[in-house]
Amino acid sequence: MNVKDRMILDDFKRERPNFLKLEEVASDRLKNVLKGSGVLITGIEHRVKSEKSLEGKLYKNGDYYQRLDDLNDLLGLRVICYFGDDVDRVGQLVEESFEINREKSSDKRALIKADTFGYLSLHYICSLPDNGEYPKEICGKKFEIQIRTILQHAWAAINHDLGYKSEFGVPREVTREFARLAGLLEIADDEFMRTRNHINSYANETREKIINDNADDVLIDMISLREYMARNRSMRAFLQELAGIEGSEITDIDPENYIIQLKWLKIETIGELQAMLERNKDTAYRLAEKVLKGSELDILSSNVALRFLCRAELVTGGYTEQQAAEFISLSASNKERAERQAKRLFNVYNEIKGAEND
Amino acid sequence: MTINVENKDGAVVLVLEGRLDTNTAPMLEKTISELPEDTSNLVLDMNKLEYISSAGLRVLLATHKKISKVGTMKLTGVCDEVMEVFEMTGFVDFLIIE
Repeated sequence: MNVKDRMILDDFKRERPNFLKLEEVASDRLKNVLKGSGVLITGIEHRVKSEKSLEGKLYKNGDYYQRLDDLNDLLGLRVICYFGDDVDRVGQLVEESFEINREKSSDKRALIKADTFGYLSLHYICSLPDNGEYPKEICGKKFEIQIRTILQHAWAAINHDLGYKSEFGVPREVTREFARLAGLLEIADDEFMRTRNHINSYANETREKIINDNADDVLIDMISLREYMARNRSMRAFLQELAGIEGSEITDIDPENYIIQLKWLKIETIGELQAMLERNKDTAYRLAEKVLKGSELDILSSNVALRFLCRAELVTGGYTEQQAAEFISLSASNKERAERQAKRLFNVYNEIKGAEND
Repeated sequence: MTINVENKDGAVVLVLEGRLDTNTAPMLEKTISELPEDTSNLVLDMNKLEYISSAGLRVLLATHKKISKVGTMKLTGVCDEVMEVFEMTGFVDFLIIE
């Protein structure tokens, strides 16, 4: 090691505790900024370079680095996002939250040649904002924030760990294999964004149809059922009726696990569910009243509406007690319990019918 | 009601005994609030829990919402009386009951 590199390394040994302090402060700031942003990320990585790694970097880069301050990545942070457009959103947040050295920062996605596939990532060279909030020994120190998608990260990590970080001396076939994979993953990143956008559009369209009572043909799935339970006026009114039995508050719970139960009852569209509500709501209310009245249970899950509607369908739809037990066992903890519930359900229904006849 | 806190196979286990009602629900709420922030595997052992009221349900709901962001909350040994309350309120649809 030459004298210059030795001096840089000695400086780093002295400064390393400050970089460790900076690591804690910068990563906390980054986490807090992202936490309130609503951007989905898979994680944040951070590390202060080891002395050994710095030594290797100085050895490989000859005279490029003249002093410790020439190194921008002694502290590195990395944000890994799910979607390509979130990389830009995180980049925007980083720009708003840290001092950015524009000259040293780079967008590898824009720099790559149009006909080349390879490393894609957004790199910022930053320092903490000079607002008097942080100790002076860490203010002004540079660090790097890399932002990339999970697929870009997979490519870069494998590329790096297989030892092909340098562009020189890599066999042509290996370079080509990595370029092909980079192209494949770039397309996959775009497809994931397209899929997410499609899901969002479907959810918005379904919501509109449900609000406008125009969703009869919509198939029941986790999105349509959730929207229906949350927004359909008749269902919300029925839920309020149930809540009125004991003056209960309703807590909204995801109805996803009712999809399989509705399917068992051959209820496959929102229109069929709406029809089931209309034909069974009186029986469902009476079944609910029978068990809830006097219980003093003043909190109910929003799923009670589906629970009692399905049970009303069982007793009015020509199902046998055995079939009802089979239905209940879709969600009950054991078969005996399901059988007991089915028996009790039919007993309660018969009591209700008997009382009506009297 | 008594609450014993145990560590078992990487999970925090709260052993509940007695009645979880308006008087005792704050005790469970306080115990849960004092658990480490990063608790991600919580088990409520209900083998000796005889009764649960709305106040107890509210504590379970709040804890479920908090824990499900980072891990899971499981209920074990639920007796028929308590299970019936979970069923009639629809809580059985989102609680993990073993």
